Amino acid sequence: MKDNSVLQAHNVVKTFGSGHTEVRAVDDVSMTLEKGELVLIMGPSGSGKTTLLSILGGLLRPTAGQVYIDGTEISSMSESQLPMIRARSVGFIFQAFNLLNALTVEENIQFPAQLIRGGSQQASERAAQLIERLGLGHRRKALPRTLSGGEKQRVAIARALINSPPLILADEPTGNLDSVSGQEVLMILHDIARDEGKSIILVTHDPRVEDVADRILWLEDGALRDRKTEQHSWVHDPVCGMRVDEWAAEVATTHAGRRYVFCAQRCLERFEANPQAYTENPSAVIDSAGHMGVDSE
Amino acid sequence: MTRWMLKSLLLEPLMLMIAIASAASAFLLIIMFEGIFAGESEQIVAYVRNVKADVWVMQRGVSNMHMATSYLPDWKVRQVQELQSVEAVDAILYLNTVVEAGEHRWFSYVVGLDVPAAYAGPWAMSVGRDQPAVGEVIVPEVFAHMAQLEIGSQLRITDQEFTIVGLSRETFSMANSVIFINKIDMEDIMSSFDISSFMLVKAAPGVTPDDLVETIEREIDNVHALTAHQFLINDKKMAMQMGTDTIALMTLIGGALAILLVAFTIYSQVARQRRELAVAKALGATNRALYASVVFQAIAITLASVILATLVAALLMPVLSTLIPAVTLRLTVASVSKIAVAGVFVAITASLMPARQIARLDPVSAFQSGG
Repeated sequence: MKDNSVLQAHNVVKTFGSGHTEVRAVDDVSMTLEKGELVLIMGPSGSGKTTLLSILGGLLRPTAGQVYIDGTEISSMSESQLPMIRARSVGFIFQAFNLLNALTVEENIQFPAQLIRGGSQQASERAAQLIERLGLGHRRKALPRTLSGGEKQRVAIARALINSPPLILADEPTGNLDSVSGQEVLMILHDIARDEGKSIILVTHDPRVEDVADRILWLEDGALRDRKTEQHSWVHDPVCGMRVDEWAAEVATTHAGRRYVFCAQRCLERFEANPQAYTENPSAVIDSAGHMGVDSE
Repeated sequence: MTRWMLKSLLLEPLMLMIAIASAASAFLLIIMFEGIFAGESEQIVAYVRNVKADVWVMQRGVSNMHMATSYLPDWKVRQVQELQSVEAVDAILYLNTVVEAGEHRWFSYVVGLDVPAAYAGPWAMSVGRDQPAVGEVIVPEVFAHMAQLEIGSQLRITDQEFTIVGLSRETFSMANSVIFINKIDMEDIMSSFDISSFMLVKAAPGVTPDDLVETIEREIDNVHALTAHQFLINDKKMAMQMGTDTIALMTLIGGALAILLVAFTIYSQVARQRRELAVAKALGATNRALYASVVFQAIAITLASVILATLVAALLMPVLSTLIPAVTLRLTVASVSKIAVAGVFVAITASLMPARQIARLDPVSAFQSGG
């Protein structure tokens, strides 16, 4: 194992069910993540991205294979040992933010620190630094229900960083955000990797992330494969105008016999509220080479 | 974690209030059962507690008054009177029987007084005389009020008619009230003459009750003497024994109801918080920590319920005693302590239900979008 690697996965397999009903959700995945590296995992729906992320974060144990975080094998740990690894070594960022509704911004950020012995002592100072750094100073005592999506995700990022874990796992962190907030969150994650040397794995459909990622891994049918670049079909979200890979997009709808894809649920909801406002001008298509053209669909 | 759980409870104040009120109603039920039991237990021994004797003397083998029978020949009463360490003796003839007034019937202690009785008669009068002559009776004021009786009204004890000449206070109990008649009438009712049931003895100045007990037992054959304090303890014990099973059953029912209500509340709370608990688990919270925090929620709800129930009971009991004078209610520190201990048991038992829910929570569900 290289000194600089934060995460290593060797031949990780995860199956659900048995016999005729067996599903191989993760199929012989091996990967290494270096310190300060931001790696993107992309793939179609149901390709096993979240299952893989759960295994790498110690939420799920693999059927076979080994996972190491900072040199410690977590795949053979018992259920009672894993919570401490999750609290100390992994920061989670979720698409749905998953803040604790009863707690203020400050309390939410400090929550993981209370899960480790002695964590609470430095948590206040560290939380104050993160609050300032992420521009949440004026929302310190606010409850999650009063925050915007972007603010919620910034709180979630601060919470993921409170225990200074070497590894951050983010599942669609921009999925529920508008384009501006999404861009902001991406830049924060990029800075965290670059400035703090945190290793980040990011599962997303957001093509903008490709610009900040060090590497892109393509997961399909549970296995890492070469990315099928020829299958890309770039279109613009009709609501926010963001570039979306039509082939991989999960948020889509059909209106007047035509298929539209969106960067996030929020845009779909806006579209459905008033489709006419967005369908008068057909969305442009960008081919895999990046050339603009008229959507021929 | 504790702060999170407490604040989670407070996040939905209406649900919390409903939960506390529901559990409090069950605890209130238990407190009322306990209150009635404590009040009636005190009232059953009201006579023994209130008469001013230092020592009680009775037939050998008898050690209390409640539901007991004791016979002492009157010459033994005179023997006791003649002892130097004795200042005074009031001898009573006593019977447990039913008193009838119209359609009303009460099981009562009927005390036959050797008139004039110095201290064996009623200790607090509402109206009328406290020394009944032959053919006269003194009844509890509550008793008279319920049966619409007054001074001069008639009532029946076994086959004899009596005229009410006095209404006493603090002598009524649902289980048995204290009625006073003349000892001559009592001898008639019992067809037994020149006997007494108990001697209520006052010690001479400078003689302690313990010394007097020793003297009487040494000097008088075949009698049993007890200090008033010990006699009261014995009587109370006997009275309590007779109602303990019933009250234990009632407390058990109330307790089970409280467990169900608190368990349901906690179960619902855990179900509502399922997603957040899964998130906490994903972030590194252990099953043990989550379970401890759920127990904390249960204890918080239960203690709030116990406090609310105690406050309501403290306010309600004087009102109930006024509205329903037949019922004697007592809210004692012992009862409240007992309820508090039961409350902790209720909380822990109620927390067992969602323990399985917590253990089975899948932290991976935190990745599911929504919420």
